[in-house]
Amino acid sequence: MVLTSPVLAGDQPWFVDVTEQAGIDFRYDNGMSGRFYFPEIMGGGAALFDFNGNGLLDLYLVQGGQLGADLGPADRPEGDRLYRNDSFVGEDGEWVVRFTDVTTEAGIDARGYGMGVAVGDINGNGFPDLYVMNFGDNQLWRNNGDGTFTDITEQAGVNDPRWSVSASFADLNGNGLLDLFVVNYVDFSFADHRVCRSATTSQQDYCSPSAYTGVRDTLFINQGDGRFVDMTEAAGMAEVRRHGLGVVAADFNGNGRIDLYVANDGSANSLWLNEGDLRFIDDAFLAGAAVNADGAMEAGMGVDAGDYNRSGAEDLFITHMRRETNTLYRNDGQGWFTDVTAASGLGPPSLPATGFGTAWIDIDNDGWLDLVAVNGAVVIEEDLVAAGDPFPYHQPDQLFMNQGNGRFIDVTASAGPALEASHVGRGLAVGDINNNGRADLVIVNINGPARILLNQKAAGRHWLGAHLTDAQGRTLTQAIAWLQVEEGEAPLRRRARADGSYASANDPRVIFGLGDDGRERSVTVHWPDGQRERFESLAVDRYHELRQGSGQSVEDRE
Amino acid sequence: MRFRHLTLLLLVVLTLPALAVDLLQVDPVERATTPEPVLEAIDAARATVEATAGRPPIERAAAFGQLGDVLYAHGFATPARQAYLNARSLAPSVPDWHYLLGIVAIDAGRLDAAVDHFSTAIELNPFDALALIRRGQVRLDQGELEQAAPDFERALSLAPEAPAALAGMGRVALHRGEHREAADYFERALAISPEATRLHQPLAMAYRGLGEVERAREHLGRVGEGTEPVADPLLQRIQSQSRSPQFYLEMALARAAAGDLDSARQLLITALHLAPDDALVIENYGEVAARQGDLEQASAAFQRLAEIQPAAAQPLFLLGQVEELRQRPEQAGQAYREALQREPAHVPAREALAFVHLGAGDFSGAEAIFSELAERPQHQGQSRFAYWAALAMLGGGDCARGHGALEALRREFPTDAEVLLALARVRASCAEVAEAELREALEWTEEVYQIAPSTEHAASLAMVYAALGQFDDAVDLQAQAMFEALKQGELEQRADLRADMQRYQEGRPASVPFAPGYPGFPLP
Repeated sequence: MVLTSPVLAGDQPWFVDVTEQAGIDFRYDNGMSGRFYFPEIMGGGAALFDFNGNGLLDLYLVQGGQLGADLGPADRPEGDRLYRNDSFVGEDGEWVVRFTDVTTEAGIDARGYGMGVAVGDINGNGFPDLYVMNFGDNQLWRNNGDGTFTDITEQAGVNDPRWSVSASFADLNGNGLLDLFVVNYVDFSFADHRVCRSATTSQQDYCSPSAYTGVRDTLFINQGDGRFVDMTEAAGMAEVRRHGLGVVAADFNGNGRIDLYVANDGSANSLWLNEGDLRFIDDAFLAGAAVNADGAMEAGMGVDAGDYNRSGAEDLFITHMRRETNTLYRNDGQGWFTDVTAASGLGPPSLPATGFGTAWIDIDNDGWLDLVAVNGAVVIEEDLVAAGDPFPYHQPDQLFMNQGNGRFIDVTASAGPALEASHVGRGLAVGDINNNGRADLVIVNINGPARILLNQKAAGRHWLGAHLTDAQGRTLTQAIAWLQVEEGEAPLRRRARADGSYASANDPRVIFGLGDDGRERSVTVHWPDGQRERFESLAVDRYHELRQGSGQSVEDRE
Repeated sequence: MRFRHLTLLLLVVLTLPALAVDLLQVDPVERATTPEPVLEAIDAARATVEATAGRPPIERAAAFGQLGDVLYAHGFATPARQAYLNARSLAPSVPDWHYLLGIVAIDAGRLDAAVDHFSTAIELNPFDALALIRRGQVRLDQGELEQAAPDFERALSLAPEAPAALAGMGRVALHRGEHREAADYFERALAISPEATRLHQPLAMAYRGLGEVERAREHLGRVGEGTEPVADPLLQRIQSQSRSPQFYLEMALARAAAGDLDSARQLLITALHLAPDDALVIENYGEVAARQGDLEQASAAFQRLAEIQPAAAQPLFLLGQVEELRQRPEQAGQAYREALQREPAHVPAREALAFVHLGAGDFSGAEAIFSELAERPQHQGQSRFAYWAALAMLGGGDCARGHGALEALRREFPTDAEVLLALARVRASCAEVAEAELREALEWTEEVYQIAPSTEHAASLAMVYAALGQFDDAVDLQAQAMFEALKQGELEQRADLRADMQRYQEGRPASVPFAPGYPGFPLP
């Protein structure tokens, strides 16, 4: 099988904007008041998750609203929205994407000034819960399994009143319970609001994060009884106070324990290596993932981990602001990274863009992980001002195609009209909305429409989807699935994950792109508890639930 | 006859205005949102361009170039590029325009174009080390490392001590896996420019590649934000065109952070000239003046700030700080009180006023303010305020309350060294405690002293030894404390150290945990 990027098909758009068809009419309102309050330029996120267990991804969109010293949730009539996926197959055999706003009937009343959302099944009832991050108090919404949610923030002890943006649910102590790591940004308050100006024109503009002090992130450990305990200090994490925006959890050094990587804005990134017994050390500098190859700290916003070069290890991609490149850190397998941005070709095209949400997805199902970056400025774009734009921060999003040889090319211009739109992009959630084996995109834009883009690029290519679950059928993130493509070729490796990107949560299922090869496949799964199982004779072009305990046990390989 | 015709033709060609050159329209800037000083500078530069109509191409090129500089200095990259393109069209043999077009292209992410522009500049001036470095850096960013190498090598042949060229070669060597060579390049760059602290990171990666992990860690401990200097006269010329007060403010802050207060102050003066009523500029000017010891200027700046911000407490707080530097605590206290009249919730002013009370011996006044601050919800530094409230109680002679407050703090912050040392002092002086508690205090103070044998840590340990009757040890450690204070030039003010030493020499333990003269406490 030839697994290289095909000649780009004629006029077929790669993605189609189905937002209107889907019935989604949502704009992230940043409540800008002309005072350039810092939070106005940073929200919001989205989550793709199956809240009712019917196999279709539902959608949660975080809302902002009015912002000011004397304004609180009660002053915001519109809060976050939950949309149930009611898509169906039409008479012509084609999927019709349809979402229904079920926020009220679900009992969700989330009117904090929203930043992001994380998803995880905290009580193991098989129904994913929501952790909503705000500028201000956060909320934990427990999924009751009957279409409703209950705010259990207080009883769970997981509020974090700092400015939270992203979070990750991961089992950090190997006890089978999902813990919660919340990434916090800066110590902004209305009382300390600073008037910042553009260095070039002295026009008032949004502040750089360096205008404020960074704050610590928070580690909540799941006690299993509906409560969490703040173990940040005990874990050795409390003294690090940086400007955290993005987070992804994965075993970066292959020791069987889940680590945490935090993208910090304007300060060094953190690689919290899990030493066991809930002790972590930040070894990002020695690991080579704290700063870029020049030794420069960058404005880290979004982050995702994925094995882009089939080396068997999680690599890292972080989005940054204009005049900085996005950065690709290649993992050598032992948790040491090398900044290979320049050699990858990802540098130059990202220079004019300020990137936020990002994800590793196989856009064309050729078996190689590609990249999506959602862009939007944080300071005034002079060219837009010159053009009289009333909100001069918008930028187009970007797609980067993996060539399979360590290099990427910017294919945005070939992707069709859906990628020509220019917005102030922030959150990105990726997932297969219509279960056709292609990763779709949900993008949140400040003062712009949330957009649902269905992937058409991979049409006609074979694929194999896997929903990795525990013995009780509950989603297991951090399980890793391997698929052998051809003898002698590096296998495809996909990690089940809901976190990563920016302020958002993703479809935890994995998709293997198989190109033109429609043969049945075998998949080996490395479960989080160290067990390995093989699942044979899996038909392509459909999803399989790979349940722990139902495969053939595999001994450890050398 | 033919010769005369040729001569005439030459004269015409040389003096003919650039009518034959297609010049671009340089886009206007958005006037409604552009500050007035910036508009003035741009308008002046445009007027110069217009005034050179009909002049020789080289003159017009210079005028367009200056317009480009002014536009670029203020972030208007598109019209700046248009202006530079015109300059290039008019005077294509001047390498400056090609170089600046390369800089603008980098900014726009058009790295191929940048390489082309720098290549032309190099063709016109093959000895331009800077253009070679820039082209090499762009090629690095493009991933064309093997093409970058000759640029840096050539630059080094022209300027052997150019840190940016050395760093560039270091990057190339790292990519090639030549870790020893990479380490050598970065070491050389750092030896020339130790302020380029970010280079410790790639140097560490080189040592990591060599398996020298400890050496890598050593350099990682020195990673900073300093960059390798690049002397770029053209960019400096552009920067000098800036009429943006914010630009000068940010440059000033950077210089101040690097310890160059003279330059910082000059830059702030320029910023003030452009924006005399800019609060942030005034505030920073005052702070730099204060740091330089020019308290008159600092005071004047903060007075001005207080006038233009009549509702803000911060200017008066800063005035109070200057008064403290002038050693005028009464005036400082007055300034803090006035600050609090403007903003009762201004925590720094409250805290500073509390310390003024403490220094004046008004312990109850200090305690009241510290206690109120400690009770504020969700405020960073709550434990610090509670600590000082306890010390104020002790300063006022109320050992029981002070002791209780410190015990409560210890329960909340069991590993806070300051709390433990203060509690140790209380146990060793005014509080009646069992020997086991004194032994516990001895453990704390010994541990802290081992980590850092500072004045306070030595003195605290001495106090505990004295309380246990080990007066020889107490005297030795108190001498150590006094020596540390002497080294810091503070012994003169430390009447508390001398008073306690006398007691230990007389075989008596300390009677109070913090004697007069302890930092923050009034002198005897």
